Amino acid sequence: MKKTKIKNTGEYVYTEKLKNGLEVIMIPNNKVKNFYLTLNVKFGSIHTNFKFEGKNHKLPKGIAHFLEHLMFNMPDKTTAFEYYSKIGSNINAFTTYEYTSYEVYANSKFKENLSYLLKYVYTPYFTKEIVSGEKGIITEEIKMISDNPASEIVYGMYRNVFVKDERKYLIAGTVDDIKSITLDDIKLAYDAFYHPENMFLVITGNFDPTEAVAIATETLSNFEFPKYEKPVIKKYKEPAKVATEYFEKEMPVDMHKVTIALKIPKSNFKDLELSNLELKMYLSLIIRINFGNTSLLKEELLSGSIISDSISYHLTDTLDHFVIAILANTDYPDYFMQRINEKLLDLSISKEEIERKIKTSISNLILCFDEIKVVNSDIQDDLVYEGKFIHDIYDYYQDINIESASKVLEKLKNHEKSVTIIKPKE
Amino acid sequence: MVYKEYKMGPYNLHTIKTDKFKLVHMEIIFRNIAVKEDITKRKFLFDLLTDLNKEYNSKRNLVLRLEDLYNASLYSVTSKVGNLVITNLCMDFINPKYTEKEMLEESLKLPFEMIFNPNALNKSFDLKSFDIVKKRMEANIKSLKENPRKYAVIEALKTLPEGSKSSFTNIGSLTDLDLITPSSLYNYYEDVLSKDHVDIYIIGDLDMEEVNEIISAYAKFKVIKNEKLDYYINNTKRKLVKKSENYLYAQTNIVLILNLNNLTDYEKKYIANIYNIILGGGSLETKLYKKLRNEHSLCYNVGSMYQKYDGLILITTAVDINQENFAVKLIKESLKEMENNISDEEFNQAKELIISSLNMSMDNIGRVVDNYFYKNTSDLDDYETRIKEFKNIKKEDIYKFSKKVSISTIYSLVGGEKDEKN
Repeated sequence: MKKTKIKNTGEYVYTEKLKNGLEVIMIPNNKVKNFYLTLNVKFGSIHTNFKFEGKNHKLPKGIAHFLEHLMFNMPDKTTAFEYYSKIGSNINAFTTYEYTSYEVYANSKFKENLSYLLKYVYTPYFTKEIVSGEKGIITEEIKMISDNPASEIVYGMYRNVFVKDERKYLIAGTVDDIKSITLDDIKLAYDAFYHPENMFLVITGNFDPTEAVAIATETLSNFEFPKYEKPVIKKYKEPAKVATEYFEKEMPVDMHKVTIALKIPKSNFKDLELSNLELKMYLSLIIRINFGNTSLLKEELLSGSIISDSISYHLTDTLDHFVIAILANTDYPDYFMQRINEKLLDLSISKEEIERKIKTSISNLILCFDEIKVVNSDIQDDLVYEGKFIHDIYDYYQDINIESASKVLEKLKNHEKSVTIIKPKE
Repeated sequence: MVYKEYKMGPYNLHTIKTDKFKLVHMEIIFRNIAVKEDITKRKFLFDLLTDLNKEYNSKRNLVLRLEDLYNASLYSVTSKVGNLVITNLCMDFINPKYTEKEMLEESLKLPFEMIFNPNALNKSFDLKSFDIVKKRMEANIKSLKENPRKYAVIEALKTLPEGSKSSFTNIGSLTDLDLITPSSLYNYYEDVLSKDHVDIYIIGDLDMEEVNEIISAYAKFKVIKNEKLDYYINNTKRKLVKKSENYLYAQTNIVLILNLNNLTDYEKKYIANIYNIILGGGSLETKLYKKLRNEHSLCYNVGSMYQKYDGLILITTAVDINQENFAVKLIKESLKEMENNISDEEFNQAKELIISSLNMSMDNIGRVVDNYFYKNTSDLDDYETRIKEFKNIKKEDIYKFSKKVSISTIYSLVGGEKDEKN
């Protein structure tokens, strides 16, 4: 087991790769009472088109999320919910575009909690009846999401930005996608992706890393995993152009919800010699300074009653693009868009602003270890997007400089734009 | 954790020393009897006080100051809790041992500077900042319909008898908002400072004597309040009210309000919690969850919430429009089962869950403060007593309790399209 210091935090990360290929990442905090376990599969909603064991497969949209719902069933007709309820633990699961996560939050019986998490996720049990029963539940979940304008604006934005990238589809799929899912689809998805070599276990909170590895090793020694070749996910050549430049939809909202999304090819930055992580840090910084709570633009729009609250922003990292989304609620969508567009042509950044934001990021870095769920989630993000836990993120913050920031800012001028609006229903 | 109380006259300072967190969390807690017309005003006032003051005269300037304090955060939460309205004005900042020693006083004094140095002149708040907060509140109130579940709960609570404080909402009303002016809000500000009960809680790894010294230099509260404020509301049993309303959603949201009649103190504090967990609170193995989701695939979410100080349980779910009556029937069946058909497994699970949830709360900095606050101002027992009492509950206690439960309201926020056969 490897123990690495996490710079400037006083914390350590422990890592181990088990014989079966499962990667284990642990950050203990024995001052708290609870522990948080997540078993993660690198299988998200965008992985529906792939080659596995020599054959090409195309599964229905929403399959990763559907499979997540089914995993809790066990062959003895019990469910993982029953097991964990008996020992007083909280469990849940979620699916993103990139991965699926199974989580346990508890404060006693560490061995039982960890051992059963591995046991239930590595014990597939699917029947036609189970698949059919889950369809009604997921249909209601999809309807619930469609009643939420905040989700609709985000999903709408992705639909309008991407031409081929599978982020243009809903994570849960549509009601018709769900209807088409079969037992065979589910079995294939499980076999292709749910192998320790394609998964990682993250443990944070009150536990002992040596014991955790021993429990995982012992538990998994009872399972036989076939020789595994990771599925080859079909790569789409995503065009630089957006799918739709302007889209509006009516919903029961009082104010317009507006998103302006910038689609920026990663090739823009290839001569800068910055890593993907560094680019993301610079992009976040530039957007935060120009549109965030300390920006003059936000203050101007707030004072003029153009917006009623903050401007929010979000960065998406795909294979060949970054997408920056700027969102706000407004009664004046045209004027709001005009001002954002003007600002996009006049982005600026100063040394003083950079230093101020770095100071806040370092404070957040230290504080994130107070929250075992937050630190666990940060590790998940690192593993999925960077391929490893970034234990020296502090150094990355220290390396941020005005020269590189200015170069990244220059490259932002080359982008495509898509506007998505949810407007009040007449 | 080492707890200490400093009785300072116009306010009490409560310190909780622990090295569990790198964060320092301070809450200045204002509480008083809830008055319907004042809830909007109160939320408005504290939103304004945490947005800016005379020195930091715009939200931007305040955020810049917070960033100078190593990304501290300042915010307020106003909640209607039973008979009372409580506002928690919170300040979070990184422990100065990780930054600079001077940050302790700089951070501790900021919330008091916001409270005692508002952006006002001649007993009237600055109009520009008043308008910004008003616009934000208006947008928040109007956006309520964007959350069908929350909207349905608020509408369901409005069916309670006129004057019941349980029907007051935390978010305020547009009618009350329209009546507020910069000077009426300033009058209310003076009222709050002179009439509200004030407690200050601070938790973190600090020298609490030093903290007391700093706070006493800035906390210029003047009026001593001694009368006891009672949290409990009595919602008496009444004939069932059914109400439905149509809206443009894809799902039909259902809310059932259950009245809990003539409970003993012990039932309020202990039995009702276990009853609620078995029925629909807490896990994915509740009676409601099993019946509506697992057995009949009717919904994604179904749950119940115990409102201790209101003497109510609220059940919420969202289903297809054509399954509305069936869902209500299944909820009623679940309630019937609570009277005489609880398995040992369900009962034991509920106890495990509540004890585990108490332990979980000890890692949450805000909930640690809540635990001390409600122990000091209400009837919450200490941690050990609560564990012991929950363990002692018998199934018969739950059956006896279930006889005191009656359905008060069935509310439907109807959305979706009906099948022709229906």
